[in-house]
Amino acid sequence: MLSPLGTLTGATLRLWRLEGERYRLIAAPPGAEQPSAPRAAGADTAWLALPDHDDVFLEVVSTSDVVADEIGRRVVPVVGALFEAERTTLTLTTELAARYEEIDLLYSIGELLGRARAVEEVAAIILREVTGVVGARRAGLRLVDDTAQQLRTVAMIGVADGIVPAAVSVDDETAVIARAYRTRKIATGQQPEWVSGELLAVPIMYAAAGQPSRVVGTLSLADRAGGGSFTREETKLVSAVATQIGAALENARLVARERTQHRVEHELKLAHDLQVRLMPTPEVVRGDADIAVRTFAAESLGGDFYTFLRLGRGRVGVMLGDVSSHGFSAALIAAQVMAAAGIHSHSESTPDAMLTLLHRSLAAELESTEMYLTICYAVFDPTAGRISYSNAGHPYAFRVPRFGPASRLSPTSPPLGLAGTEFTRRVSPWHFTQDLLVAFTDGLVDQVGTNGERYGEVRLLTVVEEERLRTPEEIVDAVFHDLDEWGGEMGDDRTLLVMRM
Amino acid sequence: MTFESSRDPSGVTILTVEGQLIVANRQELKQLVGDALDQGDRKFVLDFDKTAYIDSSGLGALVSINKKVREAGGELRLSGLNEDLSSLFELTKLDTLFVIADSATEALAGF
Repeated sequence: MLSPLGTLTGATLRLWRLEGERYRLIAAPPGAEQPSAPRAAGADTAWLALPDHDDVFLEVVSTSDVVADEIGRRVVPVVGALFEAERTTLTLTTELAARYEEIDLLYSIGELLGRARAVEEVAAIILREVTGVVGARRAGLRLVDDTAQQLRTVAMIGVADGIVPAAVSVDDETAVIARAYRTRKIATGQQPEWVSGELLAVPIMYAAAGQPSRVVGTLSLADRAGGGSFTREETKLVSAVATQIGAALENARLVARERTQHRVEHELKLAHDLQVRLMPTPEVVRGDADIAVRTFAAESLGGDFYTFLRLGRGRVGVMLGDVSSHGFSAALIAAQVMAAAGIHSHSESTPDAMLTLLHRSLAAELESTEMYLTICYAVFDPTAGRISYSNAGHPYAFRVPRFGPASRLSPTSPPLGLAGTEFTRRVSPWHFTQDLLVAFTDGLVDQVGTNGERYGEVRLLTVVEEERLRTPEEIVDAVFHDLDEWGGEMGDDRTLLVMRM
Repeated sequence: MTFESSRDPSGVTILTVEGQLIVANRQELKQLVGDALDQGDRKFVLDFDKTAYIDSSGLGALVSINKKVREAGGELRLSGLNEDLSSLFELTKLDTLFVIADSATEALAGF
């Protein structure tokens, strides 16, 4: 700056700083050989102090006809202003260089904000960066478990496993981290179990869009590298970090939750497919019986079940039931029933004996889960021209003849799991090739339509009776078509089975 | 309120179920009876005069409640079942597990 200014004013300008008893040249035009000491003031040389800088002087050596003093008076305010600006720039640059590590730390955290990582991984990175910059040998990052009201450790540095408790109650009066959580302020103190020196704990805050901020965890540092307490600057930096990492940690937590949910949904889909495959297709009794069956689960897994069994000498066993719930636990019971039915069908063919064996197989499970199941099992014997059946509390099994009204295959005992173990069977004539077996579950008749009323068994049987001369598949289609027109939402598992033999 | 609790001068606890007994409120009923058993009550009437619907989980809860009352040496009676509900109990053979009266007054008279 001095060179162009000197050219403009017709002078050589230099800046000197008084250091002790000597002057040191701190700025001069480039190129020419520089003097080791300032020239003495005279006709062609002026000597002026810079405004606000008693130790810095401007030397003006006139190279024109203008007196040096005159040049000096005109340029000294400009030189003073330029000098001040340059000094400020220098200070800022020096400070920036000194804060480089801290800026880099905040930048690293900023990077974490946009990436999908595990919470533990994010926490470990944050701790490593913070302890490196601040100079602490030990650190911990904890997140609050809202349900348990505990601060759970997700990352730790400088502490052997097992020394620090995995979780600290937010109400713990002795824990510095719990105090930081409760007060939402920086807390310091001694933690005698494992800390040497002061422990610094700061709350980690997070505010979702449009929501007030809340404390999601704590960041704590201890065992300061230089010993003693953490400085004001260090504390400020840790606080700034804590403010930034709330979002990073919350992001990571949401991503983890999303992944878990996705995995659960995927597994439920697999379980649903498995359950569907556990129930046989009508093909297993093809040639002996014409069966159509359709089932829908209210959730991914349902409690409705059915199975068909070839029992020899042309006999066919048909079982349909409903576990008193839906979802995963009901599906497990249903799967157990089908597995047990498959096993027992080889040794027992009478329906009452089958229900007795099923009850024995499931009694403990039903007792412990407080569930029960309604089940109707009928054995069709075309040679004898009759069916025998046992019905444990399942109201929705009917014989629909070619002419006349449907008649119920009334229950012969209460549902399995609700009463004793006495099962009986009924035998009734059956017009093979003409009569229809129509069995369904309560999810069908209890479906509340758009008019607020339940679909009901009367309406369902009316549809079946109107379509009774058609194939079982067409009858099932007709009922579900009518149910669609009835409207409403499915509140429970729904199954409909129609068989002609 | 789904349930209303009162006490007969003879010491019978009467629980009236309003609306529905379904999966959403069955635990509340079980809790009410459980609390009453803890306080020493042993005679119960569950009145369904104002009840339109009981689902399968509600039926399960009734059986569970009946079992607990019997295990404690008490007795549970049902009353006021409408035609549909009576039919449901008969069709599922659950009528064989309970003492069922036409009205709460009739149920109380039998104790």
